[in-house]
Amino acid sequence: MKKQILTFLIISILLFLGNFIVPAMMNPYLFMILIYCGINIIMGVSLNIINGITGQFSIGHAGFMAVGGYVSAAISFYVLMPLLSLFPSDNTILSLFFQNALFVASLLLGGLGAALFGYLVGLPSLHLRGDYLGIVTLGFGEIIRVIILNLDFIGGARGFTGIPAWSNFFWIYFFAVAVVMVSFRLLGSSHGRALLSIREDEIAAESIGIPITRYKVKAFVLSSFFAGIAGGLFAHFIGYLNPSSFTFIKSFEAIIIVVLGGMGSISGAIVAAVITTILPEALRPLQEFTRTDFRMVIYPLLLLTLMLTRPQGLFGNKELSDVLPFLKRKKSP
Amino acid sequence: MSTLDQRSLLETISLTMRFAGLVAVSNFNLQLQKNELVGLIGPNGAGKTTVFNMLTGVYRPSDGKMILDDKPLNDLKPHNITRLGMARTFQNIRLFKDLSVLDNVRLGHHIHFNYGLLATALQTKHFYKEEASTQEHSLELLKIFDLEKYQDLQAKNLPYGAQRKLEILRALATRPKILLLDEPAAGLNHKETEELMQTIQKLRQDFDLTILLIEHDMKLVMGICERILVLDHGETIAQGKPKEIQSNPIVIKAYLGDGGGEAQT
Repeated sequence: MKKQILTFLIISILLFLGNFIVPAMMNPYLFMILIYCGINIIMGVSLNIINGITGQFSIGHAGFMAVGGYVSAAISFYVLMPLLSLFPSDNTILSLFFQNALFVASLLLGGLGAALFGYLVGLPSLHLRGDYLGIVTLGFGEIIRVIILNLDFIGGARGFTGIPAWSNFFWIYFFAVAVVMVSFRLLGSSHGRALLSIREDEIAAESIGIPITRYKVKAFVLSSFFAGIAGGLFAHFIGYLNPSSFTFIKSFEAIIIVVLGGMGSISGAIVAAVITTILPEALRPLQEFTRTDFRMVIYPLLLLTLMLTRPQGLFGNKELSDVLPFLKRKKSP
Repeated sequence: MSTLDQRSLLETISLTMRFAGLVAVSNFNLQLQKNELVGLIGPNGAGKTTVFNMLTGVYRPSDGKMILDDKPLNDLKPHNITRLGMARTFQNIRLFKDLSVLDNVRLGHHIHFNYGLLATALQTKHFYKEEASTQEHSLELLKIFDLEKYQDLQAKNLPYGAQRKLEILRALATRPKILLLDEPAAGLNHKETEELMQTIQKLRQDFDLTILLIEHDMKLVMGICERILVLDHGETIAQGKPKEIQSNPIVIKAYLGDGGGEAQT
């Protein structure tokens, strides 16, 4: 336990220092890419819990991100900002601390909102298998988007403006690290093994006493909670939300991350999230050269080549610690 | 039913399974006493595996009752039945192929661990304690079949015979009262079958098990079963001691046919 608190402190301090050093080190464009990497890591690793570990096919992850984003944005905008304005904003450490604490609360509430939707979608639809479940989740994602489009108090089609920009490097990577760690720990626990067994063989899983529906719902709830947090971080970083950010294309980006990284591999999802975020941007200079936007031709071609040469994804179902054994942690408290 | 002097551990009363007009099993009556080793035999398609599927909740019986330890099983889901103390293996091995041998057995312990998602995320002392005891117990089980040297291997890479054994261990890890074995010797060679016979006997004693097994290998069935039920076309055509079954004309007819056309496998 002591070791855990120590690790927590070290990571927090490093991120806290990074929060000041990193933006100063690079131009805002590169910094933006870095931020998107963090958000996409959360999206990829969280979707990996459903698609990779539990073996269910969900293509509505953007829907959960949207719920989380809008819920936390609305809470910050309508509740927390008026609350904060009651106190003098003097930028003292105390008021900054207060603001960040409220921000985390708003993020967690956004995550809970998304988790609630994960539960609502999960419960009736998890008797479905494979493609059928995929279509239900796809439909769900679109329903969420259309509902948001028609809700005026959160901006509707115009988009939600005026969200406080409380998000920063520290919080985005803090949550990215947290989501990754929880995922790894889940995988090393009986809960995680139960999820894996569902992917492997549902009938056998039931025969050894694993309530498969309950575990599928658990996977959905946990995964959508994380996606909701990603949404909240995104909303508070940009300061603006638009329903068109959460189309099914966003869901597919998350699926690409999981498949590219290798189904079930957390390290794979992290690496793939970074690659899929950086690659389209890295190809941008090419545009000056060719005078036409070949980016969206080359990027899919690269993905295609990769999937053809390595159908199991970058990492297969291996983790980084399988390749580099010194990363393996000892199994003791 | 409590009309018997000795209360049976598992009892089925006129269990029937119909699939849209086809009667797969009809009027199946079985009383398993504690610690018994009973064989269920019959020609292909006689309904043996259907009986297993009903007992473990995969199929819901169309008629009849199943009672385990005074608890009715009819409306329970497979995972609930496992919790009541019934575990099974499958005719065509159903291991978690991509998981390690150790994980397969550890998953068998699933119903006995207790820590929540929060304990998992925080890796509390309790979490480590439970995981350690699960691991210890799993390794002990693996030692029964000398599989502990393969613990980190993916289950699909095990030799066929070892896969069968691993499946039995996974079922044992749930700590069942009744173990249902669906053709445990299928695909095993002579020597392996012999070994299996001894191991089944030993498991029954060491774990205080009641075993019901389906098997085509007559040597195994006649060798270790105390009682045998014979199914044909869903009907129970005979039951009794191995000796009686061997010489029962109805059984011989079911297996060999009237004029002795088909050969017995």
